[in-house]
Amino acid sequence: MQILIVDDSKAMRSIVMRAVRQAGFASLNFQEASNGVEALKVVRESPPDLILADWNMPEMTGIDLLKALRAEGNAVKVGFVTSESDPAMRDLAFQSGALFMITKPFSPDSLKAALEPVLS
Amino acid sequence: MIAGLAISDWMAALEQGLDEVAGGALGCTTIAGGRHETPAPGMAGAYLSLVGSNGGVQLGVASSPGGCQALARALLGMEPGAGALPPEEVADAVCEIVNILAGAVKARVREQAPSLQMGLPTFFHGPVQPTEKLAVSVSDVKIGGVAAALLLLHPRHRV
Repeated sequence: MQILIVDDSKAMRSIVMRAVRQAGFASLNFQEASNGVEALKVVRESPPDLILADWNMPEMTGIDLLKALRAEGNAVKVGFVTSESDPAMRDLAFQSGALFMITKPFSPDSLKAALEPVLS
Repeated sequence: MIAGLAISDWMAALEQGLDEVAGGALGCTTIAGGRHETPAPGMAGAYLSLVGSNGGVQLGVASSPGGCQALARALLGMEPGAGALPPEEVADAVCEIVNILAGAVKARVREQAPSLQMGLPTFFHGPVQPTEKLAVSVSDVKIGGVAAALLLLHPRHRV
Protein backbone atom coordinates (compact mmCIF):
# COMPACT_ATOMS: atom_id res chain seq x y z
CA MET A 1 0.00 0.00 0.00
CA GLN A 2 1.32 3.43 -0.99
CA ILE A 3 0.86 6.66 0.98
CA LEU A 4 1.76 10.02 -0.56
CA ILE A 5 2.87 12.60 2.02
CA VAL A 6 2.46 16.16 0.73
CA ASP A 7 4.03 18.92 2.82
CA ASP A 8 6.37 21.78 1.98
CA SER A 9 8.42 20.95 5.09
CA LYS A 10 10.84 18.06 4.75
CA ALA A 11 10.90 17.83 8.54
CA MET A 12 7.14 17.42 8.69
CA ARG A 13 7.11 14.80 5.93
CA SER A 14 9.66 12.86 7.97
CA ILE A 15 7.62 13.27 11.16
CA VAL A 16 4.40 12.13 9.49
CA MET A 17 6.10 9.05 8.01
CA ARG A 18 7.56 8.13 11.38
CA ALA A 19 4.23 8.70 13.12
CA VAL A 20 2.39 6.51 10.60
CA ARG A 21 4.86 3.70 11.24
CA GLN A 22 4.57 4.20 15.01
CA ALA A 23 0.79 4.06 14.67
CA GLY A 24 1.16 0.45 13.61
CA PHE A 25 1.32 0.75 9.83
CA ALA A 26 4.92 -0.32 9.45
CA SER A 27 4.59 -2.09 6.12
CA LEU A 28 3.39 0.90 4.10
CA ASN A 29 5.42 2.46 1.30
CA PHE A 30 5.80 6.21 1.16
CA GLN A 31 6.00 8.74 -1.63
CA GLU A 32 6.71 12.42 -1.02
CA ALA A 33 5.79 15.74 -2.62
CA SER A 34 6.44 19.28 -1.41
CA ASN A 35 3.32 20.92 -2.83
CA GLY A 36 0.11 20.22 -4.71
CA VAL A 37 1.66 20.55 -8.16
CA GLU A 38 4.31 17.95 -7.37
CA ALA A 39 1.67 15.75 -5.78
CA LEU A 40 -0.50 15.79 -8.91
CA LYS A 41 2.49 14.65 -10.93
CA VAL A 42 3.21 11.80 -8.50
CA VAL A 43 -0.45 10.74 -8.47
CA ARG A 44 -0.58 10.59 -12.28
CA GLU A 45 2.66 8.58 -12.51
CA SER A 46 2.23 6.25 -9.57
CA PRO A 47 -1.24 6.41 -7.98
CA PRO A 48 -1.15 6.14 -4.18
CA ASP A 49 -3.80 4.50 -2.00
CA LEU A 50 -3.96 7.47 0.35
CA ILE A 51 -2.74 11.08 0.33
CA LEU A 52 -1.85 12.84 3.59
CA ALA A 53 -1.62 16.53 2.66
CA ASP A 54 -0.75 19.74 4.40
CA TRP A 55 -3.13 22.62 3.67
CA ASN A 56 -0.94 25.72 3.45
CA MET A 57 1.75 25.17 0.79
CA PRO A 58 3.34 27.19 -2.02
CA GLU A 59 2.48 26.54 -5.68
CA MET A 60 -0.73 24.67 -4.88
CA THR A 61 -2.45 24.29 -1.52
CA GLY A 62 -3.78 21.05 -0.14
CA ILE A 63 -7.41 21.95 -0.76
CA ASP A 64 -6.64 22.98 -4.33
CA LEU A 65 -4.89 19.63 -4.78
CA LEU A 66 -8.00 17.81 -3.60
CA LYS A 67 -10.24 19.87 -5.90
CA ALA A 68 -7.91 19.25 -8.84
CA LEU A 69 -7.95 15.50 -8.21
CA ARG A 70 -11.73 15.37 -8.03
CA ALA A 71 -12.00 17.54 -11.16
CA GLU A 72 -9.92 14.90 -12.96
CA GLY A 73 -12.29 12.22 -11.70
CA ASN A 74 -9.65 10.84 -9.33
CA ALA A 75 -11.26 9.43 -6.18
CA VAL A 76 -8.03 8.67 -4.27
CA LYS A 77 -8.48 8.87 -0.48
CA VAL A 78 -7.27 12.17 0.96
CA GLY A 79 -6.77 13.34 4.54
CA PHE A 80 -5.31 16.61 5.79
CA VAL A 81 -2.54 16.98 8.38
CA THR A 82 -2.37 20.70 8.95
CA SER A 83 -1.45 23.33 11.50
CA GLU A 84 -4.74 25.20 11.10
CA SER A 85 -8.22 23.80 10.99
CA ASP A 86 -10.97 26.30 11.69
CA PRO A 87 -14.60 25.24 11.20
CA ALA A 88 -14.82 26.83 7.72
CA MET A 89 -11.73 24.95 6.57
CA ARG A 90 -13.05 21.70 7.96
CA ASP A 91 -16.38 22.21 6.18
CA LEU A 92 -14.62 22.96 2.91
CA ALA A 93 -12.34 19.94 3.31
CA PHE A 94 -15.16 17.50 3.96
CA GLN A 95 -17.42 18.99 1.28
CA SER A 96 -14.54 18.55 -1.16
CA GLY A 97 -14.14 14.90 -0.26
CA ALA A 98 -11.51 14.75 2.48
CA LEU A 99 -11.85 11.80 4.87
CA PHE A 100 -10.28 13.43 7.93
CA MET A 101 -8.40 16.47 9.16
CA ILE A 102 -5.69 16.16 11.80
CA THR A 103 -4.29 19.26 13.46
CA LYS A 104 -0.57 19.62 14.18
CA PRO A 105 0.81 18.95 16.68
CA PHE A 106 -0.83 15.56 16.59
CA SER A 107 -0.41 12.48 18.77
CA PRO A 108 0.27 8.98 17.41
CA ASP A 109 -3.12 7.99 18.82
CA SER A 110 -5.01 10.67 16.88
CA LEU A 111 -3.20 9.67 13.70
CA LYS A 112 -3.97 6.00 14.34
CA ALA A 113 -7.64 6.79 14.96
CA ALA A 114 -7.84 8.64 11.65
CA LEU A 115 -5.92 6.07 9.62
CA GLU A 116 -7.41 2.82 10.90
CA PRO A 117 -10.82 3.14 9.25
CA VAL A 118 -9.20 4.32 6.03
CA LEU A 119 -6.45 1.70 5.72
CA SER A 120 -8.18 -1.34 7.18
CA MET B 1 -5.55 47.20 18.62
CA ILE B 2 -4.14 45.02 15.86
CA ALA B 3 -6.67 42.95 13.91
CA GLY B 4 -9.09 43.29 16.79
CA LEU B 5 -6.71 42.38 19.62
CA ALA B 6 -4.51 44.31 22.02
CA ILE B 7 -0.79 43.57 21.83
CA SER B 8 -0.96 41.96 25.27
CA ASP B 9 -3.65 39.58 23.98
CA TRP B 10 -1.49 38.67 20.98
CA MET B 11 1.47 38.01 23.25
CA ALA B 12 -0.62 35.88 25.59
CA ALA B 13 -1.89 33.86 22.62
CA LEU B 14 1.70 33.42 21.42
CA GLU B 15 2.90 32.23 24.83
CA GLN B 16 -0.04 29.84 25.26
CA GLY B 17 0.35 28.58 21.69
CA LEU B 18 4.04 27.92 22.24
CA ASP B 19 3.22 25.94 25.36
CA GLU B 20 0.91 23.73 23.28
CA VAL B 21 3.48 23.31 20.49
CA ALA B 22 6.29 22.52 22.93
CA GLY B 23 4.25 19.85 24.67
CA GLY B 24 2.81 18.34 21.51
CA ALA B 25 5.63 18.60 18.99
CA LEU B 26 8.89 19.18 20.89
CA GLY B 27 8.37 16.98 23.94
CA CYS B 28 9.16 19.68 26.47
CA THR B 29 7.65 22.51 28.47
CA THR B 30 8.15 26.25 28.30
CA ILE B 31 8.96 28.88 30.88
CA ALA B 32 7.87 32.42 30.11
CA GLY B 33 10.34 35.21 30.86
CA GLY B 34 9.74 38.90 30.52
CA ARG B 35 8.11 40.88 27.74
CA HIS B 36 9.89 43.85 26.16
CA GLU B 37 10.42 45.60 22.85
CA THR B 38 14.13 45.08 22.19
CA PRO B 39 14.98 42.09 19.99
CA ALA B 40 18.33 40.59 20.93
CA PRO B 41 21.22 40.64 18.45
CA GLY B 42 22.76 37.46 17.09
CA MET B 43 19.47 35.65 16.71
CA ALA B 44 18.12 33.46 13.95
CA GLY B 45 14.62 32.15 13.54
CA ALA B 46 11.48 32.17 11.45
CA TYR B 47 8.40 34.33 11.12
CA LEU B 48 5.04 34.07 9.40
CA SER B 49 2.23 36.51 8.66
CA LEU B 50 -1.32 36.37 9.95
CA VAL B 51 -3.38 38.84 7.95
CA GLY B 52 -7.10 39.55 8.13
CA SER B 53 -9.61 42.13 6.99
CA ASN B 54 -8.81 44.27 10.02
CA GLY B 55 -5.01 44.29 9.74
CA GLY B 56 -2.33 41.76 10.49
CA VAL B 57 0.81 40.81 12.32
CA GLN B 58 3.87 38.69 11.80
CA LEU B 59 4.80 36.25 14.50
CA GLY B 60 8.02 34.39 14.97
CA VAL B 61 10.41 32.38 17.09
CA ALA B 62 14.08 33.31 17.40
CA SER B 63 17.05 31.81 19.19
CA SER B 64 20.79 31.53 18.84
CA PRO B 65 22.06 29.37 15.98
CA GLY B 66 22.73 26.63 18.52
CA GLY B 67 19.26 27.08 19.96
CA CYS B 68 17.71 26.75 16.49
CA GLN B 69 19.67 23.52 16.01
CA ALA B 70 18.33 22.22 19.35
CA LEU B 71 14.73 23.15 18.49
CA ALA B 72 15.01 21.47 15.09
CA ARG B 73 16.40 18.31 16.67
CA ALA B 74 13.58 18.31 19.20
CA LEU B 75 10.95 18.59 16.46
CA LEU B 76 12.54 15.69 14.60
CA GLY B 77 12.86 13.60 17.76
CA MET B 78 16.58 13.08 17.22
CA GLU B 79 18.71 11.12 19.65
CA PRO B 80 21.29 13.18 21.62
CA GLY B 81 24.23 11.46 19.88
CA ALA B 82 22.96 12.03 16.35
CA GLY B 83 25.03 14.34 14.17
CA ALA B 84 24.30 18.01 13.61
CA LEU B 85 21.59 18.94 11.14
CA PRO B 86 22.70 20.97 8.10
CA PRO B 87 21.57 24.60 8.04
CA GLU B 88 18.82 24.06 5.47
CA GLU B 89 17.24 21.34 7.59
CA VAL B 90 17.44 23.52 10.71
CA ALA B 91 15.73 26.33 8.78
CA ASP B 92 13.04 23.98 7.49
CA ALA B 93 12.31 22.58 10.95
CA VAL B 94 12.24 25.98 12.68
CA CYS B 95 9.90 27.25 9.94
CA GLU B 96 7.64 24.28 10.65
CA ILE B 97 7.66 25.04 14.38
CA VAL B 98 6.51 28.58 13.58
CA ASN B 99 3.91 27.21 11.17
CA ILE B 100 2.44 24.99 13.89
CA LEU B 101 2.66 27.86 16.39
CA ALA B 102 0.77 30.17 14.01
CA GLY B 103 -2.00 27.59 13.72
CA ALA B 104 -2.25 27.41 17.50
CA VAL B 105 -2.33 31.22 17.78
CA LYS B 106 -4.93 31.52 15.03
CA ALA B 107 -7.17 29.06 16.88
CA ARG B 108 -6.81 31.08 20.08
CA VAL B 109 -7.77 34.43 18.53
CA ARG B 110 -10.48 33.08 16.21
CA GLU B 111 -13.35 34.81 18.02
CA GLN B 112 -11.76 38.27 17.91
CA ALA B 113 -10.10 37.88 14.48
CA PRO B 114 -12.10 35.36 12.44
CA SER B 115 -10.80 36.38 9.02
CA LEU B 116 -7.08 35.74 9.61
CA GLN B 117 -5.18 33.94 6.87
CA MET B 118 -1.78 32.34 7.44
CA GLY B 119 1.17 33.04 5.18
CA LEU B 120 4.19 30.85 4.62
CA PRO B 121 7.12 30.90 7.08
CA THR B 122 10.45 32.56 6.28
CA PHE B 123 13.77 31.88 8.00
CA PHE B 124 15.98 34.80 8.97
CA HIS B 125 19.42 35.50 10.40
CA GLY B 126 20.19 38.57 12.47
CA PRO B 127 18.18 40.96 14.58
CA VAL B 128 14.65 42.00 13.71
CA GLN B 129 14.94 45.75 13.26
CA PRO B 130 12.05 47.90 14.48
CA THR B 131 11.34 50.90 12.23
CA GLU B 132 9.22 54.02 12.29
CA LYS B 133 6.30 51.98 11.03
CA LEU B 134 7.07 48.56 12.48
CA ALA B 135 7.23 47.69 16.16
CA VAL B 136 8.47 44.43 17.61
CA SER B 137 7.14 42.96 20.83
CA VAL B 138 9.28 40.26 22.40
CA SER B 139 8.57 37.59 24.97
CA ASP B 140 11.65 35.83 26.32
CA VAL B 141 11.01 32.13 26.82
CA LYS B 142 12.77 28.91 27.61
CA ILE B 143 11.71 26.01 25.41
CA GLY B 144 12.99 22.99 27.29
CA GLY B 145 16.49 24.21 28.04
CA VAL B 146 16.70 26.49 25.01
CA ALA B 147 16.63 30.25 25.48
CA ALA B 148 14.42 31.74 22.77
CA ALA B 149 12.23 34.71 22.00
CA LEU B 150 8.69 34.95 20.72
CA LEU B 151 8.38 37.85 18.30
CA LEU B 152 5.32 39.84 17.31
CA LEU B 153 5.92 42.33 14.48
CA HIS B 154 3.08 44.82 14.15
CA PRO B 155 2.40 48.30 12.79
CA ARG B 156 3.03 51.18 15.16
CA HIS B 157 -0.03 53.06 13.95
CA ARG B 158 -2.62 50.72 15.29
CA VAL B 159 -6.04 50.30 13.70
